[in-house]
Amino acid sequence: MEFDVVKLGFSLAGIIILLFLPPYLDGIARRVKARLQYRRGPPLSQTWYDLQKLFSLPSVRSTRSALFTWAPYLALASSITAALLLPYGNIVPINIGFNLIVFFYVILMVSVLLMLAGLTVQSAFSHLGSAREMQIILTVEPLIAILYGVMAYNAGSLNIARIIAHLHLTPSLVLTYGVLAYALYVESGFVPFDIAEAEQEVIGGPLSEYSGRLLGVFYYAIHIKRFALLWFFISVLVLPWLGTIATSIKAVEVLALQFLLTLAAYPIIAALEATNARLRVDQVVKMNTRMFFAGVIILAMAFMGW
Amino acid sequence: MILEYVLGAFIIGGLIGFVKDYRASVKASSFIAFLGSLAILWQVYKVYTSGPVQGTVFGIPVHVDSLSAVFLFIVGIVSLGSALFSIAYMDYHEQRGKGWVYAIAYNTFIASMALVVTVDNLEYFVISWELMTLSSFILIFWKEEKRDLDASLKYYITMHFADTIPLFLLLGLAAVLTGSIHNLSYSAIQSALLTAPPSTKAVFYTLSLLVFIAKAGVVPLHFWLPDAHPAAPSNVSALLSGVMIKTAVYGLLRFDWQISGQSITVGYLVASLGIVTLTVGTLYALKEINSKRLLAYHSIGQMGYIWLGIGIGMVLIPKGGMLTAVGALGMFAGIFHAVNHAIFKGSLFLEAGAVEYATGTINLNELGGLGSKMKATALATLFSSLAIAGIPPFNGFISKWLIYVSGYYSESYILALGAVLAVFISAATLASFMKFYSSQFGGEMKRYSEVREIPAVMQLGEWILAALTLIIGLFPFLLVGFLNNAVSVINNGVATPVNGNIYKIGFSSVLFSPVLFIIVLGVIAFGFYLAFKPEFGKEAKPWDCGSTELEWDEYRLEAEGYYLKYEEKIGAFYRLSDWFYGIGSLIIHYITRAYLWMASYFTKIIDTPYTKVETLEDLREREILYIDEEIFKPLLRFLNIARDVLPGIRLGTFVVLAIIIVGAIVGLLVAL
Repeated sequence: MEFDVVKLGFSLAGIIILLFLPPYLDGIARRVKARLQYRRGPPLSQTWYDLQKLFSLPSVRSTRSALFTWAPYLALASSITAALLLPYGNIVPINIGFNLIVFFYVILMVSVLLMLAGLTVQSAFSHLGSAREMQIILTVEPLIAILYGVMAYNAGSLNIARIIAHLHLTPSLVLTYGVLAYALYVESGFVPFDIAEAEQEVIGGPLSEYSGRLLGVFYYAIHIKRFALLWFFISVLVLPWLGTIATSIKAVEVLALQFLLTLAAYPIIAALEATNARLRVDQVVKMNTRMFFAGVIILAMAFMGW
Repeated sequence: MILEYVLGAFIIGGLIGFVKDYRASVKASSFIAFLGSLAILWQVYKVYTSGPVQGTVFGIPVHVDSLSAVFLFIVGIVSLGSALFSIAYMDYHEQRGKGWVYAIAYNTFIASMALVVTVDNLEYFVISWELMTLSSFILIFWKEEKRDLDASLKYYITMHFADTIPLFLLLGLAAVLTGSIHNLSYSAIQSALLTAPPSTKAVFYTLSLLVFIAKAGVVPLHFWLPDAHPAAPSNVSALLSGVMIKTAVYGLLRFDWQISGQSITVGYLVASLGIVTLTVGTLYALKEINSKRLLAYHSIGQMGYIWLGIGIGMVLIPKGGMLTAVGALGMFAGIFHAVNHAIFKGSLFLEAGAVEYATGTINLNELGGLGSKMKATALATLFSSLAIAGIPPFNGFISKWLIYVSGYYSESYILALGAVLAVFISAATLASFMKFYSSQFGGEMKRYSEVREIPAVMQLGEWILAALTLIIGLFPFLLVGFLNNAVSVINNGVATPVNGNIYKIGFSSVLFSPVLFIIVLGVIAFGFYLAFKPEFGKEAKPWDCGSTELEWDEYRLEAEGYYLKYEEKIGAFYRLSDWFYGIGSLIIHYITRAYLWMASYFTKIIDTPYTKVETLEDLREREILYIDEEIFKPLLRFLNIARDVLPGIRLGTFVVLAIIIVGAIVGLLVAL
């Protein structure tokens, strides 16, 4: 029974982290970007204030489609579900399928709903944005698939817990970490890969017809999705080398480590964002295709035992 | 035996087509086909609950074991949806007439497919297979539109060379092996092959693989499929893509695995063909703008998944230990995907037909804004599209996921790379169906403001299949026992160690619980919806930058523009595949030329003498005299003259003729 309490505690900690941390992470990024440009920058909770403002505004309705109304909520639910599939300490809040492919698809559902939302309205700009999002997915998914292949072969399982427990250090795994960081960065849609939404332009991407509360829900979903991808990467990067987590004390330490590393990663991301300009779709397609062939070589290395 | 009722129903369905009135004829025959499909499902249920049945149906030896039951289920369930849908849908083709041709061919087609997967004898297998090819050819040809004629001929010629000829050679081989043409039951062939020399086995493998590659539309013999499937009416396309190509999967498992014995080489071949096929088929579908052609290309792509799964099984099952379990999982997933593909592809073709029925076009560039007009069809299409794209919790996800798991666990570089490509192609499928769904149902267009939802019976037909995509996706374990029986019957009892229960499914340490997933997702989505209900202010048209000249209907992305940049970037792939496609077409071209060369000795163009038959158009458009006509022509001419002259003969002439004949006879007698 005592264990259940611990599990509940960690799950709650996880839920609190995944619900409240993501907008603060964005706040960190905005602050760092501002400092790099010699500005003061907004307070850390600015993203929360933005969301609060959006939530208090009514939305302009540009179509009667039910999908238009429901897509933001379903996207939010998908990204939260994806984040719940990850380990916090050594506890996974809900065990509905503790494996890589399910995580991969649940994260993908956020993009699917984003695209469907953009395609329900009669607007060339949101259609274009959705098509751009899909083209990015088309090039980044094979890359992620092949890296999962390396990890699954390395650890002999697709179960995230078993992967964490059984990974062993090989040159191919090191390369996999590098390429995985790149792939997840692209999937998160940070600059220079923010091609779908194209925030700085007058008319943006799939969300151009969204406003008010529905837009707020979508933004929140995207922040949580980015958090989940980063948390996943940090967990896969760090947990295998910490040994078995037998005691609650150690689990707390691990959770703290995950938390701090997530915080620490954001300034790096912000620095990359601040020093890059958005790429064109065809440039990203080209880059990702090259990365895919690099991935094929990495997979071959893994099968040769390197 | 229930199969007797099945065949009886389809025979009545065919005969009832002779009713004069077009509407009565197609409606009655479609309804009887619906009853026949119900009987098929009844038979499947019987086999599932009380074990395999063996016997004869109207003198045809049949044996419905667990493998046959799975494929009989595919035949039954897709025909059920298609037949219901046809009751109203066939009105759309009323101006073409020939209801009776449709009725006979449609019923024969379903009946022959049911026979193909149940007969227990190579002779009857060949006969049913040919009947299936012939009736499907008639259905593809049925609309007689000029642009479809080539498609149907290409189909028939490909089937003739890659199916009929190898099948008859196979018959000969089997007769030699068993020592008698009268004993070609599967078990006799199986035991004869056990002691056969390797070279004979190789011939057996080659011939049967050729047959099934061509029928399944697996690369490199896929070129007929994207033209032939869309040429038929949509309810038939659903059967062609949903069921007919699955008979090839049945054949592959029955002939190249159970009867001929296990072979790892064949397994690698099947898996590699699957990998190539899934890539080629789906990437071609990505740039297609005709909705039915798009679906047809996806049939090729999804067939690749099925072959990959079965190939993984064939490679790994003989290896023993843990790998046997992984292999059995691959084969299980392949068969599972065959069932799932039949369901969602049948549904998708019916939905394309529904849009065609409502708007009169299948061109994705022109369509749009139907979502608010055809709500039921739109939702059914969304379900089936998400299912084929492998998004949880729909059925496509479960089977694809199990294929990936078996590929990743295979410890073979080729198979693991196959799984990687399968994941990638899953994203391409998603892209393609994002386009398929939203270019038909997304946005709002003035052009289609008058469009009405299709009749209820058609909606019922498509929803039977669309609802199954979700039900199987949520409760995949319902099918595990059914499919596992099929895997074990062809593997001497090796079953897949799929674990789980009614609300979860998994293999070794990877598990997935679709029910829990949908509950979590639903609770979070509903919770946030209730906590932060959407508030709408004013209504406004989407912003078009203040343009005054822009046509409302044109303010959107056309279907062909969706992934243009991506398609440009992988242009090299398309060029390479086009080259291979060109070779296939060239072969067909030369076969056609050979036929024409033969034809030139048997036919004669009579409207312009001294010209020879050179092209297919000559045969179609010129006035042609065939060799049999030429032989009988003098006799016919004489009879024609006699018919014209005889009524005019008067008594006098008759008497004179009689005297001449009598005189001639007397003269002859005297002379003798």
